[in-house]
Amino acid sequence: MQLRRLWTPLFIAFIVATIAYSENVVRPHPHDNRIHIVYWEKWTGFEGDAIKQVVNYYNTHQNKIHVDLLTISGIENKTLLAVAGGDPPDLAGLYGPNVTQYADDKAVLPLTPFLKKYGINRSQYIPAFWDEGTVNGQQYALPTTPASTALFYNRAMFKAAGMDPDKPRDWHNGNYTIEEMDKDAEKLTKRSPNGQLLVAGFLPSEPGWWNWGWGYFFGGRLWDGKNRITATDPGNIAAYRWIEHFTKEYGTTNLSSFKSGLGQFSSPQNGFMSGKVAMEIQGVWMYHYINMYAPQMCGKDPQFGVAPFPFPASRPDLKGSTFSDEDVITIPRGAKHPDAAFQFIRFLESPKGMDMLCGLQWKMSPLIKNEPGFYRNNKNLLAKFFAEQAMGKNTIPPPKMSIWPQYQNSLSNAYDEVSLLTKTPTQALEEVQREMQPQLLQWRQQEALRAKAEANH
Amino acid sequence: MTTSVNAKRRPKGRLTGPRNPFLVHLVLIAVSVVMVFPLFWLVSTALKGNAQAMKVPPVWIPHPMLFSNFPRAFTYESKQLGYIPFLVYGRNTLIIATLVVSGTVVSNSLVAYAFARLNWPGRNVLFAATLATMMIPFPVLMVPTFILFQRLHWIGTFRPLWVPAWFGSAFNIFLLRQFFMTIPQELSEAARIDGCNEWTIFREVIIPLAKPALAVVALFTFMGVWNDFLGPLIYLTNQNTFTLSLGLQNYSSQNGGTEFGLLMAASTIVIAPIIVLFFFTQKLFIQGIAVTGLKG
Repeated sequence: MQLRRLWTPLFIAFIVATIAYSENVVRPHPHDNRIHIVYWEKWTGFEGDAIKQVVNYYNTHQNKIHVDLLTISGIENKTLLAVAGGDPPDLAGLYGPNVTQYADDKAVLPLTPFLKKYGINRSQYIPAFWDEGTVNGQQYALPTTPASTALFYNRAMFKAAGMDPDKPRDWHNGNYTIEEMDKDAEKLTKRSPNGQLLVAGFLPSEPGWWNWGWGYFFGGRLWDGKNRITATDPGNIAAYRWIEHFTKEYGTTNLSSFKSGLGQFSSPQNGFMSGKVAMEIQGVWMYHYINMYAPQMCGKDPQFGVAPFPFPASRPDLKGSTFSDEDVITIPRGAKHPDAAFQFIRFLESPKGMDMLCGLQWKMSPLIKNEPGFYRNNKNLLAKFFAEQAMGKNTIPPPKMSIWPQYQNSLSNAYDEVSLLTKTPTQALEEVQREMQPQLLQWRQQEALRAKAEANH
Repeated sequence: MTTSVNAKRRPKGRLTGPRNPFLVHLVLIAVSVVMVFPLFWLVSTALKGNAQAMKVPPVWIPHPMLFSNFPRAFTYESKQLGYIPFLVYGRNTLIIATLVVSGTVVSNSLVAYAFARLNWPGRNVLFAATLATMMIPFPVLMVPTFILFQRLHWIGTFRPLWVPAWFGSAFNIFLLRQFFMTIPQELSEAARIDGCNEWTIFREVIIPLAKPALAVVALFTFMGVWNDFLGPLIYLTNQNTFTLSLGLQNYSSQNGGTEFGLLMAASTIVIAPIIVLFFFTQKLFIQGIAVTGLKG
């Protein structure tokens, strides 16, 4: 009985002690006369390690500001929530396509005043990468690690099929067309005696990350930049016909059973790395993954090559079309130390900072002028090639619209319907047009109302 | 073995009957294999290197078995991922779990007692209102509660994660109320005649009888806290205060390149306490589920 009486006070004491301990664990940093800025970044793995090294370098090479780096998953949602709640970080590393929505929602601060003050401008950057952070003439984000895409091809497979192993690069002095690629793809394709697809020469659905954008390679546009969705643009229809022909050629069941046999992107069973897909569109990061999962493809006589993605024979002006995208750094609205935060951005965006970050992430730099030897010392031997791709006139950035997530979704559905042959390209794209046009108008109206309200203020 | 011997001894007609123990066992074994498979896969992958983990067709029994994945997952520091302070995450999770489980058991049993055993005006209306709060989905509450905790300057501390547990939750109140109602009123009355007040009745009569139900509440709560990802993700802002479920994401890379062996080894370590706890409290747990009429 005596012992049972002790239970309650003991329990209370235990709880109080746990609470005290928990408070001790979360106590903020001791005062060190530095401004502490909180930086949320999405990267993990080797990419996370790269930014950690950059932050450590910054923290140890000056004594006024200390950057507290935090790895955050689901950063695009968590940052928005934190801004709404009034407790955002000082810096947030978002994705490029988030910028328009964040700027529209007034969730990030315009950087233009800082940029003017410190003489940072567009001429220092590869234009496509600077422009992704611009919304309505204001700069809201600066690039951290950029990317562009090109055609990866398996040289060994070209050779085995009796072709020049570097045909995609060299054909007609670098004028490889989509029509020629289709012919080569057919030669590289292997079927079993019963018609089952064993090796594919090329599939637009591999890896399937840019299904929304094939129209651009045929001269299509997704909107006119103002009030009209242009999903039914002849270029887009031509692209979807081209997508359709792959299914017609191989058959829906055959194609889906082939695709289900391909492993994950980041694995040795990746379609391209395992030799099941001879050509595919990929980005600057691919070199690192080939190095990691298929090192036998690298070496002195590499088994793969890279070339600008081909263009339709009738549209030589579309030569060198490339998707351009990037990760960006922003200052969320409500940040406690925006000035100190920009000081870190200044360092990060300097040739020193960019070369460290992009070099460690095996990427190219968004800057035009880099530290001497950046590309020579870059572990990614293709980094310079991809930087040149991004400097061309046919870059394809994600469209700057607040409704882009919905539009992208709608285009992906259309892609699926066309590639499953349940709709014709015209039918599928007309449906996208019908679905998205009212949404575009609604967004534009909201934008106009907001601008008016701001002007009245 | 016993089962098959018994089956052989049975008259012929019974063998094909619905209670054929051989068949029943066969079905049960088949179901248990399906249930155990994810766990088997987890442990098997935890002992593999990255190349083996991704092999097609899959390797069932790893060769060689990399037991070193476990210590590596604990003290992992490499050029690939950086240091993951696993023990720190474990400590944080344990702190939160202790406070939440204690709070849940104490507050809900008190509220449930008032709803089940005391007569007071408006009781049923308030109980209905309590139940109604279960209909509000968490995403609806997310922003207002975040703003509330932000105004209290609690973001970045453990408080948003454990303080609400001390104010009851509709589901647990309902569960315990239903259980308390099955305890005969005569017991409380007898205690009252012996001179006990409500607090003593609650502590000396009801709580000892409600152990199975309280164990179920405690276990479910513990599992919920241990696996909670969204709460810590929203409220914790410093790497040193992260929990295990948040820590696990560090093993995966944004664009792939996940070290599956290490991720699974870390996951095995994370779920081990729950499995151990379940083994030790299994009897109480099953009893609690049976008496409260709760299904998993």
